[in-house]
Amino acid sequence: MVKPAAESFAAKSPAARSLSGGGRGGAGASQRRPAFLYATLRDLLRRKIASHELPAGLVMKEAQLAGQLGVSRAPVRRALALLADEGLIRQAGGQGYVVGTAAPLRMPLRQLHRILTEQPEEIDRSATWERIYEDVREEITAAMPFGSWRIQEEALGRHYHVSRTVAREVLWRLLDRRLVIKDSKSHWIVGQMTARDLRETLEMRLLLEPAALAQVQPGLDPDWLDQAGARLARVMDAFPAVDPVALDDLDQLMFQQIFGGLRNSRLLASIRRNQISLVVPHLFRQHFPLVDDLAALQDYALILRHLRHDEPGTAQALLAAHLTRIGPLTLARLRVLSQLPPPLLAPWLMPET
Amino acid sequence: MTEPVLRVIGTPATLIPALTARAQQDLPFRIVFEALDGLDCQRRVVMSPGSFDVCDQWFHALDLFWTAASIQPVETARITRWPEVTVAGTPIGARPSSPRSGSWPGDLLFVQPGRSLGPRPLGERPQIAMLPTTYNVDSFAITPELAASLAPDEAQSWAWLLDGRWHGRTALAADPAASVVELALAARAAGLVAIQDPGDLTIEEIDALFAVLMPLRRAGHFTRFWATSDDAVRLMMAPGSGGPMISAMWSPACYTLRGQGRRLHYAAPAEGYRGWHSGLCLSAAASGAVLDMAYAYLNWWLDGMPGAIMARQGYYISVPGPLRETLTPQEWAYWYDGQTAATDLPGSDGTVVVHKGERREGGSYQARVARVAVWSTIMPEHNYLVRRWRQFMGD
Repeated sequence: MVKPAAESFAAKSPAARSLSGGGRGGAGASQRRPAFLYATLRDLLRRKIASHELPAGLVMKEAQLAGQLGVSRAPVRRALALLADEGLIRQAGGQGYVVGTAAPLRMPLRQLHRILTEQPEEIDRSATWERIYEDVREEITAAMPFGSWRIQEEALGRHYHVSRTVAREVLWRLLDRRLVIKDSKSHWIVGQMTARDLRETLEMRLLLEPAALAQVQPGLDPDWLDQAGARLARVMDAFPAVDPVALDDLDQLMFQQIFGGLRNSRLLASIRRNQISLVVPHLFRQHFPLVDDLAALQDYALILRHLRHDEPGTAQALLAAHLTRIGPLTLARLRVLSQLPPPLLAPWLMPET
Repeated sequence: MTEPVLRVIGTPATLIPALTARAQQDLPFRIVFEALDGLDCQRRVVMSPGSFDVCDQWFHALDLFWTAASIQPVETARITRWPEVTVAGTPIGARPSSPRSGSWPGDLLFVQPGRSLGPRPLGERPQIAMLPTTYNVDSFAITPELAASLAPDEAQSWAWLLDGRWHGRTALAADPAASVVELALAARAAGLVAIQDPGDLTIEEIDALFAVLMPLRRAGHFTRFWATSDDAVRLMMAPGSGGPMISAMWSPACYTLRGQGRRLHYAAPAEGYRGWHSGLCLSAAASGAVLDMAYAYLNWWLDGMPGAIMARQGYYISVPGPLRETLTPQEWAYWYDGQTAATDLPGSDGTVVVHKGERREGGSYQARVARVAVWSTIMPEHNYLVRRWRQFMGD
């Protein structure tokens, strides 16, 4: 059974930022600082030790781990020191660290590499870029309804105290989700979100997602479906007294996580390029009442129930009906957003004329 | 306990002194009126529904208010004259005879299941999102100087707004919901931009339109952009020659200027008018005694006197029946029937604005409404359009 990847939109997103003119309604937003790289590495190693994938006695060397994980040595050194403090590993006199108390044991590099990188999103040499990715994405999407903007790569790096390479890596990932584009002069551009963009994106979702749902259904974990259903039910019970972030999370659950097990990586990539259709409700909820969102939650609950009961055909039809229904609402919300004063611009964004 | 007060916001087009004074006189509670220019008023409704109880606004902005959940439904059961209400003279639920472009006010009138808005009533006593009140058809005013410079038999056209003959002496309204529609009609009529539907411009059409407008603006073709009718009056009354010879204009400004002796001619363009409809909506936050007062205010609007006050500045009202008692037969004949004025007629402030023998351009209200080419609208590509409009205004 495939568990959908645990990627969550709002859990990672920084606190919802109000636009300069302020908005209506208290847009409470949860905040979780992205982990520092050393902490991500420590967690990864700790998990692998607990599951005995990294067996007792295994010798772990700083340079080797850094090489396998594609990160620099400093965070690896810190992660190892912390694990030693916890007593999970011990120092082996200049020979690195040994797991547990067993006699030293060496592992072929290829095997070590496989264990450490089998779920790339767990570590992915990422944390450097990941640390700023969500923040950059939030800034960009907040500016999208108000105009076209050019991103200054160097200023972006300076602003976040990261190298230009890291800044570029963030931008490439945003490009992958079609949140930024590169123009003919190779400038990074945040294009103004138009009604046409939204319409076309929603059309693509209608073509792709019901088909993808049928593909992914047999592999969906019933426990995961039950948990997702229970989460939805809790939000629906509390509605409308809910954190807007909880609604963003549920949108992402039905847009990202549910398709995480798709075998067809092209299909998955195509779906994920339609992220902008979720930007409008996300921004709207920071400023306005959630009243029209209950219907979407009801759609989601029905879809999950039919997936759980092995009725993919019905789930597909419901998803298609949902995507058709939210079209006019999303477009109307974009028009409302255009009434707000434009947000204060990040120093690395400049108007594109 | 403090005395409850009804807070009404709107634009200076309808919240004129004659109307606010009369409301205060007729209704048994205190009313605080606040007139804002159109865009400020819309922003206020969207952003702070707690700051007003009743809003007097245009139907084309209704979808913003409703989507932002700033307003609550109006119960037609509480509107005494509901059975008499029309939308721009068309009975409720009927479709207008003329082809439509832009936002036909009837399309978003009724509250539908699932909190959407639609053209069909739900049940015997349906809920509506906005109570239709005044409406009119707009074009532009020209000075006698311009009229004298026209070729014989030259047809009146929106294209005149872009005509080089009046370079530097052309004025426009600042609200894009009206101005962009007018400029789209103008550019199409002048053969400068191919436009399919002036009420729903595509990104390419918007770009093409501004590609024409920006150089004109830079070259000084447009003198000024006015935000309210009063602005338009001041602009046209500016001392000395060299003021606008042609200006997009609302009828109150035109009649005020005529009352002050300017012999302006209001155009009936060959391409048709731009229509608009306004109405009253209730803040989502209004309740209890204030809500009762709000309904009393809504009902008062349809009772005849406000319709007469609006008529004297050229506006029509959704319930014309009671006007037979509040307008003189001569007034009705000029303002609504499009007949020649049998006597001098006063404007809303008592000044004579129509002289005996004059006739309203375009004819009767039915004839004028039938010639609407586009209804004012917030187009689907509004956020893109607004950005281009700001560049244009601020360039």
